[in-house]
Amino acid sequence: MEEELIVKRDCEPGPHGFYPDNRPLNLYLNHGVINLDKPRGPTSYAVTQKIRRILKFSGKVGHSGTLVTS
Amino acid sequence: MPILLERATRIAKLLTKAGKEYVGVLYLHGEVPDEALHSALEEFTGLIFQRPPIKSTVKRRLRTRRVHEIEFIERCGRYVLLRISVEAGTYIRKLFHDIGEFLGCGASMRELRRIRAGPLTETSSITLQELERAFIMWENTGNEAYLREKIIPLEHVVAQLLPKLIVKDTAVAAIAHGASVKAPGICAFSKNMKRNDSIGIFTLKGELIALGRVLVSSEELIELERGVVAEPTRVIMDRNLYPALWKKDE
Repeated sequence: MEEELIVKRDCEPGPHGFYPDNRPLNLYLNHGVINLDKPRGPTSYAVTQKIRRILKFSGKVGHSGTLVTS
Repeated sequence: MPILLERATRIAKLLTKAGKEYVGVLYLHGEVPDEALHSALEEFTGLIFQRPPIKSTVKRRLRTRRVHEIEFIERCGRYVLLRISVEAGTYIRKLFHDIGEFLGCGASMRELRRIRAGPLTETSSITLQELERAFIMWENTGNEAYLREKIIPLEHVVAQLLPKLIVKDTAVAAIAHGASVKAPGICAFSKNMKRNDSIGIFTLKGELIALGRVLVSSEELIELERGVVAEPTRVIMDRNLYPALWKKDE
């Protein structure tokens, strides 16, 4: 959905917040999406646990569905 | 497979509802000439009826799903390689089975690989090993660049899936607390929004404040100077990131 915008009024961003690409690393990770090439074999849950370990991440790690190829 | 960290888990439903693309092998249970196969594929492109399979997590009632495209890649006897682009919630195994029924000889699914979920494509995906290397690089050298390259901000995903409403900095905190979006707070918005569309509500810096629903169309919004424009349905942003202007100085 990258499309043109209609500008209603000219506004300038103020001092608060961060551009998503420039967030401090901890915040950057907390807003992060990983487009993972899921290895065959381990369950999605096992993979999320593995990611938690790799990133030494204590927060929530979720996944958005994978194939049900039963 | 999309992995969502902390706040990004809040966009899970949005990704579930996004269109998907697969490459799969359809196995024909009998001899089928090319022409018959191609017309069957055409028959199953567009709006189709589908009853979820027995092994499924949703209610098994007949429902419609849109098949955007079935591309015939190649065929080797009874094995047919296809690329399929579908609306969320379309069962490919079932689709292949139904194509077999239509042809009369029966068919089944032999291989399936998802190559796209919303804007996340297989070609841009990374392996666990690549992620681990990027993390170790940061740990050992302090260089964040690789990690930032492997992990993408949730905004990049949402911006590809939903129309946008961009609001003034002064409106951000209220929306992050769940307040509705009012016309005077709007800076810019996507063309082609229709009433009741799902939208992303963004800051001027491009941060996602909340997912929401727009109550007016883009056309109506051009003229609108007051009143409620949209309601947040799921707040994503930390509500304390922007100052709450309705509170007295602390």
